[in-house]
Amino acid sequence: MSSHVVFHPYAWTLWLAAGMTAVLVTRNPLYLLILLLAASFLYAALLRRAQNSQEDAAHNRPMAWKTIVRLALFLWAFTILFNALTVHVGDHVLFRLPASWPIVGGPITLEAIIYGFVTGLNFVSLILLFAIYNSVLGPHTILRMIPGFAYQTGVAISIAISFVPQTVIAWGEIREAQRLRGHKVRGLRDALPLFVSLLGYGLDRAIQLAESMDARGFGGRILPVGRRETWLIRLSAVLGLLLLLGGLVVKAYYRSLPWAGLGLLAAGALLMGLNLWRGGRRIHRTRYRRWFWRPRDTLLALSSGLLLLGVLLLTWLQPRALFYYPYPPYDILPTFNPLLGLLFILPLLPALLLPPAPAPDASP
Amino acid sequence: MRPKMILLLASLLLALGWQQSRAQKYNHAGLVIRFGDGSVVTACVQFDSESISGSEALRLSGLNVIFDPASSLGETICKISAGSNSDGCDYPLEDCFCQCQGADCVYWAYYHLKNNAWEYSGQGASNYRVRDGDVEGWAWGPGNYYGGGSDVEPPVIPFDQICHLSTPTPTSTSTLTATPTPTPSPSPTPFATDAPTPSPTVVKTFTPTKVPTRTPTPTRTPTLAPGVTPSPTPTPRPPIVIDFQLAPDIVIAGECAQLQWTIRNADTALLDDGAGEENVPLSSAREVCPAHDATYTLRAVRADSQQSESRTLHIRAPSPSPESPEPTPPPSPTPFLTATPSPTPAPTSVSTPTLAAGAPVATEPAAPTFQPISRLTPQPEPGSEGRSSLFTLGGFLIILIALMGGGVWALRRQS
Repeated sequence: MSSHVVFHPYAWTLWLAAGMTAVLVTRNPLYLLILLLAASFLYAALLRRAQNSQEDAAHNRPMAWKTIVRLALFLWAFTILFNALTVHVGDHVLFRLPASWPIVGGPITLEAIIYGFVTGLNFVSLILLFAIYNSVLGPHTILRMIPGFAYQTGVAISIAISFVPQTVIAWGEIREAQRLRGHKVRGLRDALPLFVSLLGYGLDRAIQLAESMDARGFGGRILPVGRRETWLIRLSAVLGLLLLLGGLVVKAYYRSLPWAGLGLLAAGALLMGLNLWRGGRRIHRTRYRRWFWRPRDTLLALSSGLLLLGVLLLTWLQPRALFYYPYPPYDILPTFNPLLGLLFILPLLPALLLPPAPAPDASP
Repeated sequence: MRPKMILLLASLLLALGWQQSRAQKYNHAGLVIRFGDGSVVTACVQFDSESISGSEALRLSGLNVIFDPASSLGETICKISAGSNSDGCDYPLEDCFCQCQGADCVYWAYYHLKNNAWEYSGQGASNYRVRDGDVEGWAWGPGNYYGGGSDVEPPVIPFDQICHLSTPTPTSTSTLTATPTPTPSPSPTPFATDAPTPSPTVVKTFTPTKVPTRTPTPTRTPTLAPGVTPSPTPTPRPPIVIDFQLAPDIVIAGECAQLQWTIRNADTALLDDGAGEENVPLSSAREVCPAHDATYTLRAVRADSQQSESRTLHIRAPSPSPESPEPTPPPSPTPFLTATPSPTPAPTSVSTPTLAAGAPVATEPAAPTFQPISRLTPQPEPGSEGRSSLFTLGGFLIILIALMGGGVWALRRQS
């Protein structure tokens, strides 16, 4: 397996799902800070690893996400300021602006500052988790993970991802060539030759790509579907969607039977899942550069599963453990359970298991 | 050019803000809150601006209220708690209208007292402006799905019975004219359009000399204590006022009673329940369940003076026939209505009609009935969430250190 995807992509996806759920269910600043620190250490380790490795694709990706992370930090500061100035609720008043000032007038409370801090913390944690995920798995790896039944979407997206930067470069080249010939763009009529050249270039590239895909046997291993199979797929899709709709209606209007609505929703989701899986089964894909599952992937998957399960169980059985709301009449100090804090450290595990970058002479 | 504009803008804003701080007259409004079981709580709020919003009035009342300040309907009231009574939803753990999720809707209905009758409010609590002499009503009950509005109303209690402005409060009485006006109609003061700055703190002792001359507004003083003249010099600190109530004052062994107190013009309050003195808030309530007769002494302390009051709770042995506990406590409703010797006229005379109207509460012998309280200084009750102790703080620090250690080790491995 190539060294730039250190863990199996499915293990990384589970890690992302667990991290996201943990961030979204709680507003407690102590737990969120622990998680943010863990994710930051992982991101720093990935950055350092990318600097030491020689693969250019992996080298660029963590760096490319650095600007996004910086932007997120700036937005965090803005969130704190915005919340502090516009929300005037709370018992701990720091100072008062004259009430006649629009929007910002009134008491500036500590609770508002803290809540702005917590909201920003939520946001930055999510951005950082996604930055780590995207810098470790490039766009092509993520596209490969799209299940079989949606392969057409995957192909379209991967073509678009490859084509857009090339089109931008081509645009620049065409502009320069035309400028050399003394062609000045003054209005829309003068821009027409530019667009025509670009269109011609795009069509050329599309034909080339189609030929090469055909030569590699793209779309050749898709088995045809019989009539009975088509009807089965269609009917089960309709039934699945009806069950989902029914579940939503029952959950909203018949609150005395909460399990009926959830049961219908679960049945509908199961049916739709089966349907999609069956639809994808007929598409055979050969794997190039297979992903291998290593023991460290098992470790990562287990720890992420533990975090995900723990956080979900807490929200269902004891939501007060993760609850935090600083405004009165609730307490401004957050509660903290050290055992739950240990749970929120789990996203750091990939950093601990990350092998150092291979030496420049060694093969990946 | 630009610095001049900034200077102009700054002076304009300062002038606007300055206008607000000049108002020193105190206004009062009454609140009547009816809980789902029929019990009623009243409160009197004091504010120095022209008007305050309905939700601000609830905040100043000192009751434990959970608001949803940012809901799409404006500021909504999710839950109101007063002592042992509490109705509503714990926002944000649950939805603010958690009991109003379909045709069956139980919620806090909002009323205004107009001409001795309740009028369902057409505006939300954050939009309606409460002025001097207004009475606000809140009732927890089912809404009327077909007719609109709500099926339950709070009892009609006029402003005079909620806000007893005859007690000598320092500056408000000296700046008010002694015109007893019995009709509680709102004062016809011109409505200023700028936003108010309500101050929930204790009344200041500063009395400007020109204030007694500019009193064209009929203010809500039904009776004024004789001999109170406007004093041009800053008055010395007014006497301590203690309003201490115990209800009921005779219980069967094992049952509980409600202690309630409001202290004004003091710095600290100490409550002695026989086991020693402890610091208590100036306005609070407490449930006591002693096994024997107990005397509760409340001491209000200030730098230059102190005052104390005592109440005794008598324990009666349980009656031999267990199937009729009803006959023994009926004497208790009447004693706690009249026998409390407090300096302020006890506002409990209104409670008999209201408690009789709310049927289940008056006939129940075991639970202490929560009689109407009247407060002038708002005291927010402590939050119900647990506080992190030293153990949890230590745990957090240990986890942080472990995290730092692990992170630094991981970084070292990469370089």
